[in-house]
Amino acid sequence: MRMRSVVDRGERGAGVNVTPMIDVVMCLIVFYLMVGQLALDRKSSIVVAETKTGIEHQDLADAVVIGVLMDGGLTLNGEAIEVDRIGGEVTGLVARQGDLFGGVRVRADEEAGFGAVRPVLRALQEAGVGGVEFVTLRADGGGG
Amino acid sequence: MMTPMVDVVLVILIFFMASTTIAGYEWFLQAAVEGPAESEAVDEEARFVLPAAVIDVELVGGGVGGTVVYGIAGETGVALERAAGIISGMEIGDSGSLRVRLGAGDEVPMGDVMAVHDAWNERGVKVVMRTSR
Repeated sequence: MRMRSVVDRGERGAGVNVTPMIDVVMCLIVFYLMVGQLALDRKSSIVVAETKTGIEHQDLADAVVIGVLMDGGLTLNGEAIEVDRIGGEVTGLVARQGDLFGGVRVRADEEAGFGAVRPVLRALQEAGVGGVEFVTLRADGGGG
Repeated sequence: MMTPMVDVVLVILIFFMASTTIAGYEWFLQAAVEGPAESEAVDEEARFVLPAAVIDVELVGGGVGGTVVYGIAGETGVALERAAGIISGMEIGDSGSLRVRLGAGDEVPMGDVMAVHDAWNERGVKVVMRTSR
């Protein structure tokens, strides 16, 4: 008895049709990327202030990002951190990255008190960082 | 047979639309961090360069009464809502030689601090964030 196969070995020379599989895999990748991003946003839950002015960067991939949550909690590149460790971590990053060090960005929640940001700035100052960039949202919506 | 191509293009389109919405349009407000105290050794060449004029701006409050901005209208405090208008109407001459030292109370929301920072930035004045109380 001849068994049926998904692979047609007939004279026509047709192989497995992988297009639907690629389609499904791409849909899954997109789904997980979106869910992952949403989960990350929910986790950090930082809503930055809107401003009318600012500068845009494309080239600071190695910037250190310090998050200041609404409740005063701090994150360094997405990981929770105590304020007294920020200076040491940034000093280490400056030493390791050298000229590639992309500066420090502060993503502070618009509801967070300045009292949570001041110790961060002081720690940065002690680490030899002379300036920061505050992340804000474009008030005009941007994108063109 | 166009169906697979249309499929893939649609998925890519949706992906980019979604990622753009999630990322939003962010940009950056630059600020210097207040340096160490004046006890540093003085550079001989810098000795003959006039230091930048400095305006001390302080934000106070942030509670139910709202944030009040000091330093932009003499001794009087100004409600945050009026601060941007006052700053944009100030005669400041050469904005490049002016610095604003911006400080705030512990309870002042960062949104208010950024609003004042934004107003000075619009005038082309550099902002130095104060790290001392």
